[in-house]
Amino acid sequence: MLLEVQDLGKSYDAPRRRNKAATDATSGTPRALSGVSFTAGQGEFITVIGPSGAGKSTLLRCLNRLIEPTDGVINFNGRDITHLPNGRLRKVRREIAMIFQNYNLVYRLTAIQNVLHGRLGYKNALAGSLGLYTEDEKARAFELLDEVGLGEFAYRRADQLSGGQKQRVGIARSLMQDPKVMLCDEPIASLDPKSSRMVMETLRRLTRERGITCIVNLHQVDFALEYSDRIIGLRAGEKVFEGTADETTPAVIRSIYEGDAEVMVDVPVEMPEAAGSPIEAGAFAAEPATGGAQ
Amino acid sequence: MSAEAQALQGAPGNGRARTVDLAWFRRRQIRTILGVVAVVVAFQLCSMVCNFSLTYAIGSVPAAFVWMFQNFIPTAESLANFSLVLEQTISTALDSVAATVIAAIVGIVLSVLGSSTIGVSFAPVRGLIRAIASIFRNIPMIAWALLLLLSFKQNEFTGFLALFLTTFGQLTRFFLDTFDEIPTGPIEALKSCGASYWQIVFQAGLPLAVADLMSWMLYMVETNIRSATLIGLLTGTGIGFVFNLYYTSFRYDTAGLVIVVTIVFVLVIEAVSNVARRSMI
Amino acid sequence: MTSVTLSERTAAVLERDFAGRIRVTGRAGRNISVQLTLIVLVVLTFVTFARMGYGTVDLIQAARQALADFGAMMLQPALDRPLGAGHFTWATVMESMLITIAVTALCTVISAIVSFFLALAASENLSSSAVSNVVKGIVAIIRSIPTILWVLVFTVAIGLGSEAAVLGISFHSIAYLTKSYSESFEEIDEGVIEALRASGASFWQIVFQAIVPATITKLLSWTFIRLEINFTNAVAVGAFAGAGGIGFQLYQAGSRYYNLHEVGVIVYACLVAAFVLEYVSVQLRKKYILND
Repeated sequence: MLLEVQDLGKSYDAPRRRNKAATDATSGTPRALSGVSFTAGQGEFITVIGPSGAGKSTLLRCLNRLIEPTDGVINFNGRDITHLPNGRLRKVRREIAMIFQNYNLVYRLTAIQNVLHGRLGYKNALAGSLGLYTEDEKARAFELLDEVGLGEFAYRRADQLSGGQKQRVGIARSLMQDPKVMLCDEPIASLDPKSSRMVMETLRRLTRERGITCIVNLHQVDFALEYSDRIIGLRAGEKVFEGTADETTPAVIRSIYEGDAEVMVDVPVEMPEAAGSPIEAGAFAAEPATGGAQ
Repeated sequence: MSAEAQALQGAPGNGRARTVDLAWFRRRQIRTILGVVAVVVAFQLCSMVCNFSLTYAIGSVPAAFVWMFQNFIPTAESLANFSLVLEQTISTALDSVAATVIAAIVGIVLSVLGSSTIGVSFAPVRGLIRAIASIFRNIPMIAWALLLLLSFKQNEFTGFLALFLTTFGQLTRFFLDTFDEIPTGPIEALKSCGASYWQIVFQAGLPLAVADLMSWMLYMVETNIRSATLIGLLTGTGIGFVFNLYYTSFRYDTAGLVIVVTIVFVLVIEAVSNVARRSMI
Repeated sequence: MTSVTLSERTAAVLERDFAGRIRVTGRAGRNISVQLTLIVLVVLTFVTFARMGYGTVDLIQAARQALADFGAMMLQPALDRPLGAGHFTWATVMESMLITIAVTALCTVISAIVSFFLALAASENLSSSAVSNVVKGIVAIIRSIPTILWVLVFTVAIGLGSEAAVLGISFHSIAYLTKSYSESFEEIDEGVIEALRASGASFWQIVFQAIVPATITKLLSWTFIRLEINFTNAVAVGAFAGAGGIGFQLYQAGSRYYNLHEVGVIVYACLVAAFVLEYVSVQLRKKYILND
């Protein structure tokens, strides 16, 4: 297995401001994450769903240790990376790309400069700091931008691009890393339905064509059902479900989102009141993506 | 103000809502009156402490302006000193630029390391940098000027050093605020790409902050010309020195010329830096 | 030259420099104003150092002495013998500090009130553009004159005393606050003013029912920022205005008695006062902004 996660846990000793929402949502438990285990094989498309504050973001950020997990083991490519020191962690991180809800581009730089940031992990401190890239790297960056359909915008400043374009620059940046795994944190939460679909299509194509493993946090359940090989349900920092899209029945979804006041807002699909009438997965996909707008 | 919130939410829909509402308005009125009274009392107290008479001050403003226009208007005679005034003003302006640039070089290193977004992860170092900036910023200019005068004696370099030391504290604070406010997302993104500390600083931190940093630098150049006047007065250099020279020898027309030249210089520098600022966004 | 396989449209965009290397910033969208400004500033700095008078002192020797003096000032502050010379008592220091704080407060109150009315005239959305331009022009000129020159001019015009200090500092402060206030006024949504005007409200009703409530947090915020600056200025001009104050004592200690230990005590007094002012100002700003 490419990625194996065992008993992953994260707790904040003192209540930290940034994760206050998470603590509150988990009804007083100070643990953002506890006992989460799963594996991900090459080229798999996995989505993580769950109410806001369930620990989806924390889980993703623990995988590349942007957040340090407090318990558990992360094995990547047959190697325990849970306690790697900084220098070697850098080398691991360049194989684990990440895509963000807010795109996180450096807005003053051009699209192509942002794509080239994906190479920083491969460069020495000086060349990387000064932005001295090789001709091969620059050529590859152009090819990747071309591939996501933004070649003409290579010299545009990032803040002049639309949301969907920014996210595709983000994808090109992560491809620049030659990653084995892509972690996508709510990649379409700020996008309109059309751009959302485009981004999701791109991500699925990458898993098929390049064999990159995608782990995607989503709160649009319909998209999760449509694109995923496997769905993981997270609630209050614990894994409460794992299965294929077909196994993710409305009853399952309801149980994942149970007790969450925001469920009505978060789940775009109308829940049938009559119990025991299973709805086909395809039916969800056919629904318009009303959850796209926040 | 939580009382207001309570009053507003206090009685939703029942008959007492109107009276509660009125009470809220009355309370606001009382608070406003109390505020005004407090300011008036404080004003009176302060006037007593420093022996200040408001009526005398206000009454003397028109006369002061008349006197000023009679005495401080440059005459043909004072134009004879124009070249000296101009030369000293230029040197003051240049000192302001140099002090700002050198202070910016030191300040940028400290503020990068001390900021909450891209600073070093060891918190005491960040705290120390903030403390240093705060102390340097708040040590009075007079103290710096007099201290340096003892060792470096009376010359332009002394004025420059005093200016540099006060600028350094202020600029570092402005820079720290700027770096604290840059978005953390791109920094996280570069971290996730495997970028090292200095790569993040140069590829995300500086590009995200550069427009604001430059804006603060230009602002410091403008204010430094004014500060340099006081420092010049103490260290015997620049416009401060020339002004004092003519002022103490009662040649107010030439002192007025100094003021006019200063106005022109500051306005021109302000206009130029506004153009530069706008083109940087 | 590295070959790239690109679609036609992308290939048309790609630019190479003189050596055939791929550019990462386009010629069209490039903004070199930052670099240009930096180059100008650095060149001016070199010019400054080249033509600066360094006096006749041995700079290294002087630097060493300055460092020692700084140590004496900051590490051994004292008023009494043996280090101090008994020129000042704690009571004088306290009293002078009180005077400086009083001057600061007076300047801030006076300039806040005057600036409020000037700013109404200077705001384009509240007055005519002709009036606005005239007021803004005058204010810009007042602001460009250093505070210390204002104070010196007032000391000869109306005599030594706290009035000269307060007026001198206030003039610059008024110019600063008028600019800041009017910028806040101009940010107000035009629709709010229009709606009130349509309902037949008078000018002053609009000001106190719409403008003030909408901008009060910003106005207070600017005023507190200015309070800190006014304190710095009150210390700085203290030596020249004849109003007494901590700046005057500092000047005495440094340039008449040459006692750095006494200077140190006064500097610490100023630091404490500045920190307290900063703390109060930050707390007040937080309180007003959070509650709105």
